[in-house]
Amino acid sequence: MPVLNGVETAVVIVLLLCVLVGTLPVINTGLQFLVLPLHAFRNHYGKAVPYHPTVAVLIPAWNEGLVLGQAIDRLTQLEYPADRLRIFVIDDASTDDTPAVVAAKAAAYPGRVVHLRREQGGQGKAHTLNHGLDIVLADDWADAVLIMDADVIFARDSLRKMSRHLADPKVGAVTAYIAEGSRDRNYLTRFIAIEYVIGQLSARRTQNVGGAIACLAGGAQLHSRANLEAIGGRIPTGTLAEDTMTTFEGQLAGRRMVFEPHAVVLAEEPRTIDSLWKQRLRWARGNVQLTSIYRHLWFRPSTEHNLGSFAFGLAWFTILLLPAFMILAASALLVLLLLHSDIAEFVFRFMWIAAACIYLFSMLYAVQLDGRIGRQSWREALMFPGLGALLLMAIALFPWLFEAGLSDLGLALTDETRWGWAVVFYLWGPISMLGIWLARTVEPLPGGRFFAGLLLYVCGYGSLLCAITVDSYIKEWRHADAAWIKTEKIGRVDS
Amino acid sequence: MTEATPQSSEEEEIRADARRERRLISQALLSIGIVVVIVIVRELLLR
Repeated sequence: MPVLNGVETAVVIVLLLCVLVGTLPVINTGLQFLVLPLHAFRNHYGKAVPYHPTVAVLIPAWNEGLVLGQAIDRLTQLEYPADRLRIFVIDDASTDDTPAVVAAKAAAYPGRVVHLRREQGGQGKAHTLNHGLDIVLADDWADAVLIMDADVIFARDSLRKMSRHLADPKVGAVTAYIAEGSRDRNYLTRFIAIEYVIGQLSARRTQNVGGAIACLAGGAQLHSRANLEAIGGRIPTGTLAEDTMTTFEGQLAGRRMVFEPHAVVLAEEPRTIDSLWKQRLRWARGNVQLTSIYRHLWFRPSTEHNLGSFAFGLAWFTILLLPAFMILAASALLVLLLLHSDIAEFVFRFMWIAAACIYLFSMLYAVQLDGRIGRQSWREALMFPGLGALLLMAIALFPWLFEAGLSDLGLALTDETRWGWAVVFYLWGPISMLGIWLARTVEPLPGGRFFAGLLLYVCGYGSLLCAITVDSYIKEWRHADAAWIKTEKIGRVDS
Repeated sequence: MTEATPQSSEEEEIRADARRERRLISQALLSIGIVVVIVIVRELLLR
């Protein structure tokens, strides 16, 4: 290590802090999985008892004729008292056969299925749900309201596994584990399946432990009537992330939210990068909007709720600012390379060895959390960071193998080539995001799907989510059109 | 629609799901154990 004077030391410390901030997402992932085992002790099962409130199921539907019938059939097969469940389909001015499908199901299950029609549609899911809520809450029949998507398939025991938590009056709402359930999976749905294991079976259990839930899954959220009335009996309409805002409002009203990992709901997920991009861009823009709406909430602990806790804020902002952190760390490493290449190399190796350990720990853990997904998607779990990042981890762990490999290829490292490799390695995060933008661009071209998939495996699924987040910054900054874009579903989930 | 399962079965189901959460501990230990073994192997290779 070189001897540094005072100014150099200060500059190096600032750059190291920037790198540390850049590694916060990795640290947060490690903390998430380390806290996860605490859910064995800190959960809500101690207060759960068999409980079957009268449930009004709200299904917002805009041109869902291909999937709606199966979802309704499955609801009627739930292990739940028949006289305590009513299904309300809120038809958002559909132009397909949705009204006919609902009419057929209403005839098949008399008194159980209700068709609510909006003649003016297209305003988004929150407006559609509010049309149903106005009707359901005006009547005192429903003790609870299940909000779901038209394409999801509930496991037979899922509703009663959710409702048992509502026996505790402090609980305002319960959400289930939304698992990717397409029968004909492709590489992207397998990546999404692993993402859902990490984002739900791990992250939401950790949020249960911390007492603050970030989001009740829009496809399966069971609210008590009291919770809905406490937030005004309406789903907030001023954001693209209405499910997250509903979750926040319930907790701010003093109620607890619970994630039930053993209530499984299968969903059909996007099969192309472009359709995934559109869906996630809506979610990411919604989160940017909520960060501003709740700006007085972050990192301000409260006795009423845990949304202001440090841990919750850290988890929220490491996801929201992940691309910014990545670029900050890359920039700091590049400046360090210019000033003190040996320090840069040491920090780079330390950072990637830590990332390798956390990646390995979290993925080994994740594939055990849902055995079915683990067996189907182990390759995508392995490739989740992308081939490029895996190579960087290997180089950080076994640098002599990298150097020996280059020598065998006749590309032995010199001072100049070492510098060139370092620049590529340090900039890999931003480069991988550009690779994902390229994947989206080539996807619609002839043969493009193959190259898009190849690029995703090289650049990593995390980089895909980062690139979408960057796009959300840009769209929000430009105040781009925030029209609701429906994710196409055609009924790929088996009931 | 199918009828709900008996109260006693549901109570047992809640206890069973609570017990299933205990698996999180063994899964964590297995995962971290594998990582520790890999780190030790690496250190041995470095010598």
